[in-house]
Amino acid sequence: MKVYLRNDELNYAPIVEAEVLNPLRTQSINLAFIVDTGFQGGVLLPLKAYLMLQLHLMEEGKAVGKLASGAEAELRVSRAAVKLDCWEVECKAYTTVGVRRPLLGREVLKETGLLYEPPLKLQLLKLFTQ
Amino acid sequence: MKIYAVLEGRTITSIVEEAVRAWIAGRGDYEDVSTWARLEEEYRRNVKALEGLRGDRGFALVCRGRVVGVFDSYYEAARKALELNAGEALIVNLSERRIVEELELGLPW
Repeated sequence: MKVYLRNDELNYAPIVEAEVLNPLRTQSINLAFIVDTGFQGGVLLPLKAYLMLQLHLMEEGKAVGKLASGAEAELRVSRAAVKLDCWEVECKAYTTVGVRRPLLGREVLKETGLLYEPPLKLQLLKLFTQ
Repeated sequence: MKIYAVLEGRTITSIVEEAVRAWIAGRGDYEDVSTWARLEEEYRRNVKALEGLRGDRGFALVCRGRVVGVFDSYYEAARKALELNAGEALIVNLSERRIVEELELGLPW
């Protein structure tokens, strides 16, 4: 797992490179997530990643995602686990058509805590306190 | 649309073009779209199969348009779903029966 700020025209985008697993831990994939405090859910995955994890075989229904622009997007919903160093956070996983960047949302951040102090520091707080 | 066009000093045509461009941009690549369509077809069959199901305990596994069974936990149902390897599978907590939720998605990705 890596946590860092990316500044190539992205104004210190907070990035978390982590392994995401399906709920049964039979498939996993490494992704570079952008931390998005505007996203209420756990992880938003590109459709290909969602299929690779076989989450389409463990779906819990659908969600209607409300964008900041007021538009709505239809999402598929399953469960996943995000591996952060030696511990895992279970959360909901979402996907829809056209997702290009995986997002890490508040459902995970509420478990990990987050210190975003650009340009120097990005820290998932609980990783260092447990 | 006319009011917005006037307010923005634009033509209706330019607004329609922008809407079409945004719609195409939101579709993703063709492979994703065809995968999504396939999943949707299975999902609709599975939701329909769920309609006739009685009971309010456990986790129902639905795939290939039929209820496979009701399990004690989500994980048991998920294990069975992997074993069956259908095109799409739905696991519904019968005590909630909520299959559509709402959430904040933030900015467009």
